[in-house]
Amino acid sequence: MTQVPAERVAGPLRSATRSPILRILGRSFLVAVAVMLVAFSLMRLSPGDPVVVLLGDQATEENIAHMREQLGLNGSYPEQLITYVSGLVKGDMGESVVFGVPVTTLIAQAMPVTLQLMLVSILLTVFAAVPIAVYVALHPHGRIASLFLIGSSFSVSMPNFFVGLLALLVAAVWLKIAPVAGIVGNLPEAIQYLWLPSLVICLALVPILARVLAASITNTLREEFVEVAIVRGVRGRTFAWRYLIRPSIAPTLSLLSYIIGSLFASAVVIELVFNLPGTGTLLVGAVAGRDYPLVQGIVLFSGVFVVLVGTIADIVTVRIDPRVGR
Amino acid sequence: MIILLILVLGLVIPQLSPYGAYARVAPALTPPSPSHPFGLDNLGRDIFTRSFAATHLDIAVAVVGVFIPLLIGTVVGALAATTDLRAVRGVIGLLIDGINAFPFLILALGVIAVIGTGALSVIIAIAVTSWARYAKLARTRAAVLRDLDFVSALKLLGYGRTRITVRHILPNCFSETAAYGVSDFTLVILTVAALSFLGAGVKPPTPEWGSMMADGRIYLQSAPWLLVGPGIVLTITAFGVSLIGEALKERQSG
Repeated sequence: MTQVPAERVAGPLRSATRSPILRILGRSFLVAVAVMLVAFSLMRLSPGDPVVVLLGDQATEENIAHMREQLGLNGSYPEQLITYVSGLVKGDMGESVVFGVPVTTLIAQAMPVTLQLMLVSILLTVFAAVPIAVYVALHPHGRIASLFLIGSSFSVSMPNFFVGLLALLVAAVWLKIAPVAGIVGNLPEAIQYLWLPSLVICLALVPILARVLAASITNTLREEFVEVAIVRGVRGRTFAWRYLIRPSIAPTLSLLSYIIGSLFASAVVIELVFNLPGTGTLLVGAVAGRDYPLVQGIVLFSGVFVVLVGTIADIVTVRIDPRVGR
Repeated sequence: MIILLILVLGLVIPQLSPYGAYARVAPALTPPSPSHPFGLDNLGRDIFTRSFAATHLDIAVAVVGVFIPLLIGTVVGALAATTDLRAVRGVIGLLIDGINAFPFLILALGVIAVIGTGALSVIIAIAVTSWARYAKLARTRAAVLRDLDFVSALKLLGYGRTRITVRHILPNCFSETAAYGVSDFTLVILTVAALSFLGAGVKPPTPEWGSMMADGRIYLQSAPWLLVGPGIVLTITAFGVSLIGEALKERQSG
């Protein structure tokens, strides 16, 4: 390819970016900075003065000044940005207006619930999606494949809060096989509270993952090494893993940050439906209460989290599939 | 087809219905019956009428919520790919990736927290968050087009960059982003309803699927029909839209 001379021209500064992993890390750092700037600008989008919105018209000068300080709205925008960034570096996201505690404390309290919900959901999704994808890719014209196509369009059209409420009604109220709401303890014993909400989340994710994976496997099937394997008589699990799934993982992994993003978003809705005290419930409460620092903190956190997962996925992709990133 | 049917029903049912969308017709929480197919809600309003009366608002908000970011995103993305200024390209590229990193619903909630609730806010929140997805598509497409022979030919013919971008590259980008817009429609419809469900969108008493279902949530055990009605209409609408998207995709790929 013509990339080699281009890199040579770029000179010594560019030579460090030749390592794919360093390049990924550099890019992710820049995106994380962009994410932070978006979160910073978010609060300054307000059409009115957020301090007046929060305190009302009757606030005293002193209160206003104090609130301004608390929200980090003193000085010009560059000055505010410096205050914000230096706070973040120290792990300080400001103080919740409603609760009067540091935002980081609140997020740290709510995070385990969300993480466990996401973990169970993603495991369920992978376990369901991989066999479906392999089957659909191997039998693309079968009845199951067309059923899967229609079914997947339908299941992504179901609003997750509707499915969640129906699931609550059927499983918790009628069949009584799941607790009505809430969560006690952590995994693994908390699984009895998490399986139903995770199932609801995974219903919308399985089709997305399975479709991409199936398309990717279909492409892999056209590769010569797969034909060679078939001719050589490789069968069963070795064939499925080494010749079908592993080479097809790379395009799927690049989808991972998207999946984590939608997982995070559905967690917001599902936590509310199932009364789980995670970051989603925290965010909805913060939006209703106009708790700007808390909203900003959670929004920033979700963005950085997605970037982080995306970075890891990119690095794993390079490691697992040597064809990528060269 | 399904969408057309829903739209027509959305127009006709509130007119034909003997009950108004805001009228309290009978005792609250009456279960479904022939005269009230979806039952009555906690204020004694006919859910069937309200579910279809919500169609306009929900679909209108979603249409605008797809169209505005489609327009902004395509133009910004195409310009970002065709400009010669590396700094502009880099900054816009980072902004696009930065916004795309956020989970859609969460950033939209963040915007609403700042600008307040209501139908207009929902549109703004969706526009602020989703233009970047269109811009990313348009940028990729424009970058490919930029290096194609016909663009070089246009340059040789002496056309300026503005003319080439506006007359030749932009329309090409639009055909791609518009196709994505159709499949994005499903997501936007669901997001509009989800935002209202979370109390961050359209407020009661306006008939809206999400807020109707939020109202019905507390009656889950005693009167589940409060959320089943609007839920079904919403699901059918979203499914109809996604079928259109699938059909378009199939036609495109031949």
